[in-house]
Amino acid sequence: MGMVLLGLRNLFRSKLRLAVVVILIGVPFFLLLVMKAIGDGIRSQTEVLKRDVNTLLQLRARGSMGHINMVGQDRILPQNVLEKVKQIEHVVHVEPYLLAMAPITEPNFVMHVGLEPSAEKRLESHGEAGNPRIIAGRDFSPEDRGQNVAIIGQGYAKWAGITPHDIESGRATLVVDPTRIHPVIFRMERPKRTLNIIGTYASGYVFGDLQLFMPLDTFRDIYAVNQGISWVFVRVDSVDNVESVTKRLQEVVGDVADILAPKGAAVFTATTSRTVTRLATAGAILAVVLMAIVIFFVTLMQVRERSREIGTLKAIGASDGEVTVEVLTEAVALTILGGLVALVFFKIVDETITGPVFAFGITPFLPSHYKPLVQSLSISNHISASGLGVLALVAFLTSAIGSAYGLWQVFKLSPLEAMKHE
Amino acid sequence: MSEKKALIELRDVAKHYKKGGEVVKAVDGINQEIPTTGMVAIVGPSGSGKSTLLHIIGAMDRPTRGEVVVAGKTLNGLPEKELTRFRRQTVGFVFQTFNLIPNLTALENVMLPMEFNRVPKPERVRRAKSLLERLGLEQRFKHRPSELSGGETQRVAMARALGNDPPFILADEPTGNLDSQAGQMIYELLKEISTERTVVVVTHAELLAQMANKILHIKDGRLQDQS
Repeated sequence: MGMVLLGLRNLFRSKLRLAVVVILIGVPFFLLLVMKAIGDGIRSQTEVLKRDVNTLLQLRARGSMGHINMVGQDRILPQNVLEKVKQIEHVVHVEPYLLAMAPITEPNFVMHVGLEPSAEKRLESHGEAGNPRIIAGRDFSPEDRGQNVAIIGQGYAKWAGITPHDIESGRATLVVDPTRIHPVIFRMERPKRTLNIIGTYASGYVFGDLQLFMPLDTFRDIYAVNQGISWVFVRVDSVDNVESVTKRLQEVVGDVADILAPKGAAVFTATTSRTVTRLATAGAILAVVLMAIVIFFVTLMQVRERSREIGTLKAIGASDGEVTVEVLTEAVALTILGGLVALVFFKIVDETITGPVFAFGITPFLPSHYKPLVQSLSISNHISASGLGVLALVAFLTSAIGSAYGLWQVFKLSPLEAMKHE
Repeated sequence: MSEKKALIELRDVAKHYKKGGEVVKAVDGINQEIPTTGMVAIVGPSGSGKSTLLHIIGAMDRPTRGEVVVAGKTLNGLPEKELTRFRRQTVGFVFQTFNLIPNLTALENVMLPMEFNRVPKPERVRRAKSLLERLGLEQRFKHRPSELSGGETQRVAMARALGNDPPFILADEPTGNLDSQAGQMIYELLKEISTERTVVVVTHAELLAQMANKILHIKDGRLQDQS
């Protein structure tokens, strides 16, 4: 009869008490499981959301639109910005853009954009209407670098009289004339250039369809811009790093650039997932504290009730350590039993109850605009082997901490307690 | 009682403690030698200090003054761990209220002190069965304390006290909760046990005291005349 076995047998002295205590421990344990599931749900939801969150930063010359021929807005970034930006940690992709304006009849002007053939063709108000979609002809290929080719927006093409059929038959061309002016466009003394239109795109909004994309080297040649960049688009690896990369850009690039950071990303990371995760963590801590409190009182009650028995064990030769093992075994076993009951209940009820429990427990502490997130949260009752291991460790530590005072009382109890008569 | 080599030596043993600002002299300057066999009865009115003296001899309490030597070992100043080992190997306790562990069988209760003394399990079982048989409880191995009569329970407690074959047994009012018939049986068993070891009994029972080889009368913490 080891003291561990004796501790386990003590559990069954009163079956009614055992049931009550197991339920008392099981309830906070269930809460802990729910909070863990919520934490997991939030993490997976966050990962999904992160994929859709814009992590693209835009740099342009301070106080300038960066169009090389726009009156008062023609300052561009120095060429070395590109290399500096590429060396920043968490920057995964850099795209240089050069922009020029070109006058047309109504609606006044269009945009000429020079970019790397492999770059995404971002519209000037990038992100508002998504990226362009090729509707006729083809996209750029690496072989187009430095060639007199272009892809034209469907609105610009219509103005220029170019049809999709012309493009697909390889007969579409457009003349770029840098000498043409407009109230906001100044004259550039450069020869005209005829570009072969290899494709046309649709963007989903009117101004987006009035752009002409050409290879960056071609643009530099047409407009004689050998150095400098209008815009630099910087892709950050994760929404979590947008803030730090923005700060680093400011340090590295210095005062020459404005940095346009996606506001939504910062707001998202700073509030939604962090707030809900923190609340779930707080709930989990509360559950563990509740468990520890239950174990504290149960252990203390048992020690008080069994003080004569503990004294007897000491009188007949049990060491303090042996009696402590007996009582600790009982506390740990009670916690594990409570945990198992909670686990079974958790597996049975699934999200039918965990969702409402979460909503009931968390949403009162959240601003109303979080409610859709809470309602859409997918809570799974799956618990991995490592998750079970963590829970078992938490249960053991909680029971050890919760029963610590009771165990100290056991330690202090004198064998003379055996002599007390009831 | 013939003079034999002393198992227990008490030299000017005192236990004083403060209660409500007053010093209570529970035991006050006791000198006594108790031999290696035979029964010694400690008698006296309630509050006289007899139980305190028993606790000191049994290493459950420490004297505030004096020296307690048992089997050549001085208990004063021994660390708690050593006192536990002393209780485990040298003393067998019999309590007035039996103090069996309620969720263990009679056999398991008897085996418990042997387990603390690291006796191998087969030996524990053999010794426990033998002791229970000797005390007439061979039909009660698997019974729990709640399924035993008062006399049977106290006999199981006596078997437990004998488990590690200690040189002396301390019994605190061992018949206090028993009827006269059961009490008589316990008297006889204690007397029988005392032929091979020392039995120290605290009792109010006149009959039991009369069976002792030596009676220590204690009053106000001091020994009176002894017979």
